Amino acid sequence: MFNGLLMRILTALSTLGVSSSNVSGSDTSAADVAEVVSQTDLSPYAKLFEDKTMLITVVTATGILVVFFALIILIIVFALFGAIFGEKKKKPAKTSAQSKQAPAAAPSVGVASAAAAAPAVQAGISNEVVAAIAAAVACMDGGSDLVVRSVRRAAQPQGRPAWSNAGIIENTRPF
Amino acid sequence: MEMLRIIWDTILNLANESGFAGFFTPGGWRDGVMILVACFLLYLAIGRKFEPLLLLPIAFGMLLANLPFAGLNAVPSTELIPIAEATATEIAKYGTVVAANGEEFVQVAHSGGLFYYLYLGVKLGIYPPLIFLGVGAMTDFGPLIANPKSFLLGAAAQIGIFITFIGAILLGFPANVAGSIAIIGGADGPTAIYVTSKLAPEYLGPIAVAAYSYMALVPIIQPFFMKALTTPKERRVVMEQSRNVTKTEKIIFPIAVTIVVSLLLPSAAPLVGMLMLGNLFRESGVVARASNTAQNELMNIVTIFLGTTVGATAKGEVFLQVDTLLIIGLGLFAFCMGTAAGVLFGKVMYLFSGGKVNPLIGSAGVSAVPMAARVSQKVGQEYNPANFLLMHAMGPNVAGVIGSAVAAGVLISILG
Repeated sequence: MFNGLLMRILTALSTLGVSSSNVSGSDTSAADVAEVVSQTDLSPYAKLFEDKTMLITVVTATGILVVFFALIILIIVFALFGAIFGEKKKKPAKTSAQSKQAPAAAPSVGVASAAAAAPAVQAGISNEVVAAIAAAVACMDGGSDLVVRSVRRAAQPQGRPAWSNAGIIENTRPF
Repeated sequence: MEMLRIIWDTILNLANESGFAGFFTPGGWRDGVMILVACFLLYLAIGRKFEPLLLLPIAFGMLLANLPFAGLNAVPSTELIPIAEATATEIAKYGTVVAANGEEFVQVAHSGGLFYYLYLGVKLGIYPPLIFLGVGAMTDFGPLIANPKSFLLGAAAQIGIFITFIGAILLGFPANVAGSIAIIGGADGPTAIYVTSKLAPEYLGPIAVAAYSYMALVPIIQPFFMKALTTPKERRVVMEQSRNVTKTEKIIFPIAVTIVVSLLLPSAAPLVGMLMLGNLFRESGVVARASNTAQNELMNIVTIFLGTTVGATAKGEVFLQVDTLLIIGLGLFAFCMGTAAGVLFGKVMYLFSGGKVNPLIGSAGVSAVPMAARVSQKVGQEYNPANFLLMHAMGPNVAGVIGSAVAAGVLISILG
């Protein structure tokens, strides 16, 4: 059994170095003849099966070209879809989403003074957000030791907001 | 004494009809070897959890088919017995038939074995498209729609199929068998079974076993090629968040793909059409019952029938050949080439996009969903813990399913 295996591999390697199948070993030409007999006149591609090199080249080239062609057409169709149906980036919505990341930012806090000065708030962050942060900080410390001095947007690591990161971690945890 | 002799004769007759006697008929030893192979595959499926949903029925089907005299694969037949040799019960049951030369026969009908009838679903190409129906209902094509360029990576990984075809032809396989072996590189079980049942049904056993075993080995085979063909800088690329995909797009996607691909390549229509029908069930939102059934009950039923009957084709005479070893070797070669082709094309896209595409998602173009995408995620995270490639890799992964169906259509058209 392994002699046969070795013969097949050696024949394959020798065929690689030869341009035409007409010179290949005797045990493969029988198969070629059988192919010709079985495939002739039965299919429009009958001519292909007469010569191994032609068969390999034509099937490989055709296959790769057709697969790429079909999928490129799909790319074009769906790129058009994206243009027609896709959402436009809403700038105002984005900034309000980003300002909600302010909770992830560490507000600068100072040690208590009972009379809190109004915190310095970065432009674009609404009062409700500041109130929410202040309430959260107050819940955290239970008393009035912490004062919110300023609220500013956190630096975006690598372009993805912290909430997105949290969501992605949550969704990919099973993997 | 007479009674004892009759008892002994009866026992001897039963012994001759038993499976154990079957091992001693010419060629019967193969059945024994196949039963051992089946037990080994059962160990892989249950003990090592290699794609158990498919490998377990395949292995058990192989076991049942190689039990001597069990007749599970028996083909239905009619036997003509001359009336002189027929028993009275047979004549009463089947009646008599008069032949042209005046002789009377009793036409005894033997029904086929269980697996003969269940196997018709494979032979006639019914089960694989039904499995694709379930796969489509379970798949979210969102990442692909958001980034249509992923289609290119799905196409590139199918190059592995055609490289394997070259190898199979050079190793002496006839064209139709070479096509069936090559499609293993598509890393898609139902596609491999569909193509093999059309091009080379006698090789269904070894090709199915090879296809599903390698799909289970994706996490082991792929990382080597992914690391060998990319630089650490390329592996660390973090990709932009994809855009949101609207409901309308998700509904039009399956319809458009079916029309485009089926017009281009009608032989791919059964597979692609059912895949997209399943997806439409899921995305339309108006046929929740159909979507649920397709994803659950239908998938499970068809998987059981498909696995068992495909395993039952693995008879000793076909399986224990040099060809099987070559098929297993070529199958591994196919997987490796597909991964390599996908990663290399990913590098091309990295260069053309100015460093925006991470080449690691290219290996997910082999259609082993979602395993290959998970592998991309894992390898990406090794080099950059904050890198979440999973959703980006799902695009090429599901594009690969479509790509391998198109490649299957090409192979069936030319070689069938």
